[in-house]
Amino acid sequence: MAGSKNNGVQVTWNTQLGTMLAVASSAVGFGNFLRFPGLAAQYGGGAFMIAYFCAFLLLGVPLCWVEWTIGRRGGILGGHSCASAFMLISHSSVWKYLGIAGVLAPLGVGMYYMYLEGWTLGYCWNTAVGNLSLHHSSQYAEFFALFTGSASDGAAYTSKSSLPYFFALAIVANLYLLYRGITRGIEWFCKWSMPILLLTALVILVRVLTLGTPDPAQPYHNVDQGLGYMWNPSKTVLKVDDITVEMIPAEATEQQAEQMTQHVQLTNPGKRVQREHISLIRGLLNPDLWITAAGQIFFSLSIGFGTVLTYASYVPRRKDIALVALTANAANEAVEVGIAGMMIVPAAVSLLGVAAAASASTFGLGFTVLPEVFAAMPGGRLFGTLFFGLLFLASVTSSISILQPTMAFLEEFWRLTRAQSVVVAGLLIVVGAFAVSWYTGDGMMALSTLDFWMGTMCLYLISSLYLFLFRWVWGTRNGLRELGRGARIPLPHGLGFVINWITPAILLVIFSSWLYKNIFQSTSEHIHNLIDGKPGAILPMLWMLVIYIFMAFVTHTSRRFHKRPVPPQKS
Amino acid sequence: MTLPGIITMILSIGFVWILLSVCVYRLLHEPASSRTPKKDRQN
Repeated sequence: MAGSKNNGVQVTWNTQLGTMLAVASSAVGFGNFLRFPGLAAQYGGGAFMIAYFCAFLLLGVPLCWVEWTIGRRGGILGGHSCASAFMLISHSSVWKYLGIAGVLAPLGVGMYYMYLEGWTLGYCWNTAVGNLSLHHSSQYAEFFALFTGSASDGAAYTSKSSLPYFFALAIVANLYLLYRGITRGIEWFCKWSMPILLLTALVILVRVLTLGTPDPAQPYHNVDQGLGYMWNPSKTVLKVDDITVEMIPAEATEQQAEQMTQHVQLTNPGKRVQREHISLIRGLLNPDLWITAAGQIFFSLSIGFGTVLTYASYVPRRKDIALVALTANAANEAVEVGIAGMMIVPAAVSLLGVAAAASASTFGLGFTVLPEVFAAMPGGRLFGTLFFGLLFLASVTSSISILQPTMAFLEEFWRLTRAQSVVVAGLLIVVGAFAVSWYTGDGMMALSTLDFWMGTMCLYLISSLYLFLFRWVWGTRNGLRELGRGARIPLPHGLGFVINWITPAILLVIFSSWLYKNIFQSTSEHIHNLIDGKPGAILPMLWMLVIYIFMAFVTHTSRRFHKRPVPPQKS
Repeated sequence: MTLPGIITMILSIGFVWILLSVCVYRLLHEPASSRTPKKDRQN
């Protein structure tokens, strides 16, 4: 069913359901179960959720349709990677250099994705053998720190952590499956593993929602408070030296709020404790929140990764892409918001408290919270093993999809065989992944650097390029005609207007306000880390620059697309 | 949890599940290429 080239024969997707399942399967992974809950907790839910849904409707859905359409058009013209599709549609060789960004970003994300797969596999094993049957929240945090080596750079490679073995296993599994092709693997996974993963997640969700108040000594650490933290549009929080440590429940009286404030002051002697009301409007005026929400939508729906573009390039001309894309998006959102977010954020608040939930690393929250949930449920060891094992499989299918654009690029521009492409892509990714696994100090410096610059900013840039190509170069009318070909749903009447004006305006406003804030107000820590020359930030980014130069060289020297392509039909 | 919080939660989760249900229903029941131009279908 998969779109790939085997023995020179182009294979296209057989069924619409198969295409949708494969795309949904590649989209469901760490973005849903780890990244989204981590960001929702960091940004305090509420306003973040509203920005997130606005981004889904006004950026996610239109841009996803744009990417599918560009992908199928590129495939019809003979290009299966972002660089070739951009060039063939625009008839300009400048666009192939811009399109390299669509190959570079997934490669950068893939570097830390494989590292996270090592975490997941390690947690699966440690849950199965009972190493995670601990007694206190602090022990789970200690286990996480020791296992991932977050204490200092290179700490994961000490004898105390088994992570390097699982990390190596994850890399070997990825490269092997990439070499063998995963056509049947994805199909099997969609049919069996994905439903089991979702069923397991639903059982865990039920357990989380019935946790009540796990620690009677901490009456405000409960599920209701957790749900309130995630969904209340406005909230009152207690801050110690500008760091959120507690949320005052909406139903609390002034006396109870004062008691909480005094309790926090007692546990933080000598520090400045202040009560702060965060209204919805104030939350929504934060540009960082918007760019993160938009970045999460792009990451989660795989927009800008080039994966969707490569998949779409194998969809036959007269098959539907509009409904398939929308269904894959909806499935992804249902899992992300309806299951993963509802599972991890309330569990984090009720088990660890608001302070720990808000300050946890983006990807680390799930690993510090879920083992404690498993310990508190009957059959928790089985469910824990099953959950982490299936999440590992889901993430492997995602990471292999993430590497498809690089494979397509190397096979197209350098005319490499699959085995040669795996070697080159493997080399590029393993060096980066090793840097990510080494620079774990300073709050997982290398991981957070790549996640911000490649997993957020670069996706933002590529999505803007998609839109620019679709809107100004190809023409919205031509693009919508292509999208509508074979569509099984009527396209919304205002879609052209949204793509022409609303989506570009939102992208521009969010990016401009983010730039303004980071240049004229307070510089982002990610920019600071680069300016300060921290090796954990500089080295991964330098490696990405080297890869870009290498890809530009490959593109420049390739003779594959030197002949001017045939202009698209006017009909 | 406040009333606006409950409303936001129900609207958000309800919206994505309804969207998914409608999409899957149409994917399984809508005849293929029903909106394909006649010229393309003949090809």
